[in-house]
Amino acid sequence: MTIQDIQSTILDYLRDDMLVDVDQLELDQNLLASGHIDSFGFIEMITSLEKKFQIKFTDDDIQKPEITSVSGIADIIASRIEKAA
Amino acid sequence: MSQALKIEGLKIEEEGLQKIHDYVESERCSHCGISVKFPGIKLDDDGVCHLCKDEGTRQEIEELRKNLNRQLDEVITKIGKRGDYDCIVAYSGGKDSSMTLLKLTRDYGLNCLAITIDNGFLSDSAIKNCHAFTQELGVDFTMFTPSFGFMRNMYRKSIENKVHSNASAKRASAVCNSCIGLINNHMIKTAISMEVDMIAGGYLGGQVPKDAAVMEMNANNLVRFRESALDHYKMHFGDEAQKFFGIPPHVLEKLGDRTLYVTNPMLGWEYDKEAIIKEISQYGWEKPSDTGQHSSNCRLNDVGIIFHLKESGFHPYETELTDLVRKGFMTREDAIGKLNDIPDLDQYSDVMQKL
Repeated sequence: MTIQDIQSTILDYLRDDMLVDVDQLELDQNLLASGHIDSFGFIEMITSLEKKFQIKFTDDDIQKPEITSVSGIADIIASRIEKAA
Repeated sequence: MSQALKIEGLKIEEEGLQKIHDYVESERCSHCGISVKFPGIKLDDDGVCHLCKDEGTRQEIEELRKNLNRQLDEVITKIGKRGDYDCIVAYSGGKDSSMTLLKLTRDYGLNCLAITIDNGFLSDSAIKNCHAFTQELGVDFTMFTPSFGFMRNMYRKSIENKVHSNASAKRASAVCNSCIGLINNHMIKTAISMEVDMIAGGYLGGQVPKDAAVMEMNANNLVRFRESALDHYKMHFGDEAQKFFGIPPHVLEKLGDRTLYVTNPMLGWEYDKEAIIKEISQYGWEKPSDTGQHSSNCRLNDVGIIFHLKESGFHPYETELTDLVRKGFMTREDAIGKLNDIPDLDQYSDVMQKL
């Protein structure tokens, strides 16, 4: 699975479940600060992506500032998938 | 209804009324009763929604609930005892937070501090319940009343503008989402200041994510969640939002490397509305008659529902009530009955005037 595939899956999720207008979203945009999701939404997103990609984010992953953007989450997921392989 | 809706410039146009009508007439899941007007809902040939199909068996649902309950038990064994209190309960005076306070105090033996935010729209009976219930339970209780000028501005802006994310509209109305944000922030700030490790709210499934039974917060998470949202709130509600949605650095410093547990115990407990009312009634709680169909404390709630329906085309309690149906705690007929019982704003002219 490429980074682009992962990003695409995240964007699909944000569009279908979080009702985010992904056409207006920059990949490195902070989803919380831009108001696209709130803190509860963040928790929902993390849980859903864990199920979708069959991974488990670590506490360290959650601490990373980049986890608030699509590109950042995709990088972290790619790293988790790689470690699990 | 139309008279009351035009007070002080807050009004619902014909298009909004049509949306409400379309919602009431809409097709619903044959199992849980969720409306197809709810975003993303797809029904199969038998009229069953994808949420019901994804929910799992009764046994799996029960196992999930028990697991959330175990998480809560683990937190209670972990929390420190350095401050005067074990737990701060975000206490609205409504039935669910009353039950939360009762169980944590009586059954878990926690020394709780109950904190109520008086948003300017608490019903008289709810305020009476707050005092009577905490006194009967022997729990310390405090009420925080933000300036009404700020609250009024916050609520009006929440109705007039798009303040919250689309996803949050699936959980609650705009006025409720603003209030929840302010309440959460006040509880977190107070817990850190008073060196309390645990916060409990009375939210149910649908109002918060299923995984929100126990949320672990450290300083880094808090900065991310609160500060990221703060600029957004300041943009909509003005600089005063700093006071109600921010956590000052000197407060955050007090958290150090401690973990703060933000919990919603009701997610892990069995839910029976009538049994809850019966139980809390033994401790001086009386069912209010002036707070509408969906709230047992706030007179603004029904107004928020109307404006949410008009804006979004679905009921803000859609997820909460249909989640109770999926979990077997409510019948489909009862849920639909509540969802289609659209509030009559003529009963809330006092609320509209205050707004």
